[in-house]
Amino acid sequence: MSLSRAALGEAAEAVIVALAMSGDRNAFCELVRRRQVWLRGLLQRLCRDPTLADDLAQQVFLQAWRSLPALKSVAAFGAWLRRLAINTWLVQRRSAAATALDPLPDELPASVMLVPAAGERFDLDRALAHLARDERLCVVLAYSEGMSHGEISTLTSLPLGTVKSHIRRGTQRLRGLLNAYQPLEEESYVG
Amino acid sequence: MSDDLDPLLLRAFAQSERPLPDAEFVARVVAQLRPRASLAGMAWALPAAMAVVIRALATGVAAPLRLHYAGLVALAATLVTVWSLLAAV
Repeated sequence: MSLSRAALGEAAEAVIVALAMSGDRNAFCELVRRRQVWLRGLLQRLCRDPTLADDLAQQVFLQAWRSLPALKSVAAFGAWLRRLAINTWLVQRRSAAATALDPLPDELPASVMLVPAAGERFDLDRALAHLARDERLCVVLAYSEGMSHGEISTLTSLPLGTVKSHIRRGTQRLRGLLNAYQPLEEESYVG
Repeated sequence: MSDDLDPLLLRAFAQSERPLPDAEFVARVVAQLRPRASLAGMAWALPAAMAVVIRALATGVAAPLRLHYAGLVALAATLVTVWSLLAAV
């Protein structure tokens, strides 16, 4: 069974996932259309480089297409796709770290201070680059994906206590960076 | 979400969402989608096909035994076979 594009556009995601699992290419294209903004946004937060994020998102979708028959529940598609995305990002990070001599471009050493230029607005993606890899992952999953500490612990296989301390430390650092911008933003509102 | 998060950072995350151009990205992914490998399909289908064949054979073999007078029928069949063989000799 295959639905027209218009029907696919109105169908519930569970139906589309089931069709895509059975090999319906059009159904999978609809899933790509629906999920791509979210997935690319998540990967951009994690790797900061939009081009790399799009390449990784593409890899994730192609991997998802190949592995979809192994999905246990159609309702779990979103969480499954997120797990694929994070694993893909981690693999890319490991291979990049293995060949890089300097810090990776998406990770700045703690000693490098983020000093906002006059009138510059808070750049969250740039600020996230000041966090260590696991810190950034936990912070993004908590703030951007709305996941609980327990869910993050399950997804990342990090102990719950580690997840909590990553989020606490990451939050403190981001708040420090955000505060550096606050006076400028307040001034611009006043002016 | 049950854990306390910094409200200012939550706002910063929400405000930093940007619209992403999607048509080109979707086209790029779709262009690379290939039909799933037929071997993978066969790997799924083969055990199911084998199971169907074995089940059909088992049903066929066991069917006469489910008859009420199965023993009598089997005996009669054996006798007819032996008689045919003897007649042929």
